Amino acid sequence: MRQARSFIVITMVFLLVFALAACGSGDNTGTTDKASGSDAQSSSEPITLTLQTPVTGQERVSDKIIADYQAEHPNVTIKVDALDLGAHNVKLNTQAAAGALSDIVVVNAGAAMQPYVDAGLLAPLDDILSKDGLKDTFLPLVLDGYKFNDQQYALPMAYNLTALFYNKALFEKIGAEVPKTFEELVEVSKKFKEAGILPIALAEKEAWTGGLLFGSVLTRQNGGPGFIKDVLDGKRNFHDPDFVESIKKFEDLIKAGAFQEGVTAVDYYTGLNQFLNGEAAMHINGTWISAAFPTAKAINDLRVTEFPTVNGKGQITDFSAGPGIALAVSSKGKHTEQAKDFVHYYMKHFPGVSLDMDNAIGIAQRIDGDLKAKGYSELNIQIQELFTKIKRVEPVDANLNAATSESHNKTLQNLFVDPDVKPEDVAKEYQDAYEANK
Amino acid sequence: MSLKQILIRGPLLILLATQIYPLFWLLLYSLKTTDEIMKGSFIALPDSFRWGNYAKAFTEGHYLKYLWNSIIVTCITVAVTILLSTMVSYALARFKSRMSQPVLLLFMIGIMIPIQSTLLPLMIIFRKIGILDTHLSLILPYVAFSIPIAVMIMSGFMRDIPYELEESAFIDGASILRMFFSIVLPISMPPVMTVCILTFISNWNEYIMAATFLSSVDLRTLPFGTNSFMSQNTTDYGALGAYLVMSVLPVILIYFFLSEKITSGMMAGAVKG
Amino acid sequence: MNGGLRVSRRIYAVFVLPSLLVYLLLVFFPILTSVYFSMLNWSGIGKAKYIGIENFVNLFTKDKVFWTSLKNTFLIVGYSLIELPITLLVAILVNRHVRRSNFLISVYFIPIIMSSVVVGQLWKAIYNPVSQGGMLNKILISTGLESWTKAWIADPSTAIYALIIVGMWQVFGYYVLLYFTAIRGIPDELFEAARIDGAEGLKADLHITLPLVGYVIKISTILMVVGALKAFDIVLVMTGGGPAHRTEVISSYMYNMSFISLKYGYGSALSTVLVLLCLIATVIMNRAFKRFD
Repeated sequence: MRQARSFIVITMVFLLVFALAACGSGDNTGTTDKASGSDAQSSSEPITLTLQTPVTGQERVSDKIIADYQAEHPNVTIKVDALDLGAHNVKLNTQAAAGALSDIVVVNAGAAMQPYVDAGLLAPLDDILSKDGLKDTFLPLVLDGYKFNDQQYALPMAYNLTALFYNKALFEKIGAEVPKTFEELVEVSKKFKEAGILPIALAEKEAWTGGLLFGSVLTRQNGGPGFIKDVLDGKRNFHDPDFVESIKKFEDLIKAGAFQEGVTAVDYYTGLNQFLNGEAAMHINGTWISAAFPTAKAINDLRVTEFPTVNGKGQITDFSAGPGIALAVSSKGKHTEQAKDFVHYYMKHFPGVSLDMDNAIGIAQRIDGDLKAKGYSELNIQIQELFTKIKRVEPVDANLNAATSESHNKTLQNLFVDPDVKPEDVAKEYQDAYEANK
Repeated sequence: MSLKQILIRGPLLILLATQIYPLFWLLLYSLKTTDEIMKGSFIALPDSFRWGNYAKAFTEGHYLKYLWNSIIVTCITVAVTILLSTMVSYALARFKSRMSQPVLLLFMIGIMIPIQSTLLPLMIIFRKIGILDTHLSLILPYVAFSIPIAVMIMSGFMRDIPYELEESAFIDGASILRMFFSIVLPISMPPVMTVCILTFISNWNEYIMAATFLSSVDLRTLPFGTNSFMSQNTTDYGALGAYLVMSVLPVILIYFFLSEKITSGMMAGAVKG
Repeated sequence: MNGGLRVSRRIYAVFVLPSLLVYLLLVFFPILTSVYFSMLNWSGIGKAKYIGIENFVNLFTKDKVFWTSLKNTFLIVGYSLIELPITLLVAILVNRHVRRSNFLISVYFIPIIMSSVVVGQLWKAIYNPVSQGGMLNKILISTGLESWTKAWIADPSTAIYALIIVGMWQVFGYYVLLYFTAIRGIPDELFEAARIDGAEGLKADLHITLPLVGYVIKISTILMVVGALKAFDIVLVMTGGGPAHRTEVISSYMYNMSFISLKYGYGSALSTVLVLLCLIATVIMNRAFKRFD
């Protein structure tokens, strides 16, 4: 029958295309387990390296550096596999389970990358650090977040601190002062609310955003950094009065109506944009948001200052800071030496290219150059100044393991829906989660 | 119109509105700027139609390349699924064997597997056999996951095919394979088309497996395109909307085209019956 | 269900083996490894420790979130089951009373074609709180029902129901199509004969349509229940399981555990529980629908 015959023909055609698709597809580098490449190879052998990265917003910088590197090394091709953050993390974990990561991967500091180090999937980078004085280009202390067993496993591209961003124009509009203490913060939030202006924009669908805010409160109430470290060392626990008091303060802020209605469903872009477009008076977030400044409508009204003190405690020179994303090299790739060479080149040129491309804020290396002359906004310059004021640092999120952090953040998220939970009960939840996931 | 007609047609029309609305909404969305979207009310018309969003979506979203890959992967998946599932369904429905019932049950379990729990094991397998970063690494699992539902739909239908058809073919001396391809398959066009559509839509939008198993930009399918518009701190919602419209349109077209075949195929079946 | 044709083993193999092999390797094998992983204390990377059924014990006795997710999942299943007869009714009505039925059915189908990104954006715009211009709230205000406005997907009392509505809306056309296809296959002569005997409209449906599409009813019920048990995309895109796990379902909880909290062994245990639930549900439904076989 004609119908059947055409059906068979179509199927055959598809099977043919199928066979072609299977054979003629993307390169297969990095997928077999050959012994890690020796690099006495002649530099004319074609090499492909895969760079596994989340979408960062810094693409124009990385594209340029990659293009320059490929121009200088014609036999090397860098394949960039950029995914949204969720898919990126899933992929890294899946690759790790299967035994080998992509040649070059972007990772996060501390506990986030520790499993990969422990499983022997990353190559130590101390040799390239000491080459050409690369080590000295980094800001003090920032490399520690990526060091394990005294070896350096990743080189950071970002260093962020948490601060209070605010809209100068909106403050002037209701005639209020920028808060220097937490109590003032609560009061001014009430004033903004009465005036019909959103006091603080927060994107609590993500849960970690609330955790970031809370971390700042805790650092102040604690009188300085080190609370989490004390917990990890077994010296204190979450039932500590300073912790309980921090929760209480946090709840005060929520009850003052400082956040959006339905804040737990506000996704990250929406929340951030509410501030950047001038709808909200304040925003507490990390300095990585500078990547969004080019499209921020209200940029000229925006400023930044240190997080306020709590109960009169805490020094404003203490910051919740986090080393950000970093480059690491797989120990199982076919061309580890070439990969390391690329990472060295990348980090060496990163500050310069970043400065030229409006990306100099919040990188982990020193910037030599006049920001104002290069047209950076007032806000960006202020941020850069904040970095110079750092005396002590409370690492954000980097020390508790993933399961514990996630659990804690969810507990916190709950407070936005139910701010009347007794602080002591919250403390208990924190403690329980910590112990269950140790 | 009689009251009865209104009572019946009314709700159906309301349903029509609720189901087609997303398409209009998406179209409007794709013609706005990011600002208008973030601020905008739900039904507001854009100030001016930003056709530029489409141009941007086309180029920055690598539309043609991703579309082509999606077409290859999905069409091959559909073809292979249909071939394999019709054969299995026929066998389970018509061949005398004690294996039939347990095999059918085995397939039914497949419907219950959440895809996320297969990512790790599949990654391990695919790495070992070296098909990572090829379209095959997608086609194989897509087919494997589509077969159970296809079998469920097809086997029921095939059971009801009158025996006389097969008997007459045997009398004519046809082999089983010949009979399958020249008689059984043509008669089964309606459920085959249904399986075709269902398999198509479950795989066209699949992302997480594709993201995990592919690395080369050249192999990417349509769902990846949205990444081009969403970076860490900014999202170009207008271009994103345009891209989504362009991703949905081919499916809708194919769907309308195929659904014609279903009804006409069924007419033939009914007449025969 | 056993056919009558006698075939050689070779023919049987040709027809059955390819599918079986692909399926076993790519679907069944991962299920088995998943069960194995569920007995480990493992983050998904590096070393694992065998702990037997400890994950399961913790799951059932210590994990509040698990029970919330279970409750939410069952809610979804319940509402989905209610939806099914409605889709059947719609399919019958469209077939009988609408001339360009093909077009209508095709339009009903549109939501399922849309990716979860689109669906998420659309319904967020509908559910957004007043301050963000959500459509539902706007309508409430304009009809004088301002006191009813809420942040639909953030408010614990409404969040999961808001999501359920989205799911039901999206999946509607899928089942209408399935039923429609089946109904179309019923020869007109049967309805003619019934009319002569005096049975028309819905009465005829009871005696003719229902029994004949019985098999499709069975399949669609199984698909619907299993689909509801696995429901995942919409939850992840719209609420991430929040606020604070209020809208968590088993699949999303499993995803978060495995890939975000890095407790892959525990996540696998959740996955195993999910498969078992689906299995039990299927067996029950199989029995219930036996008369349709």
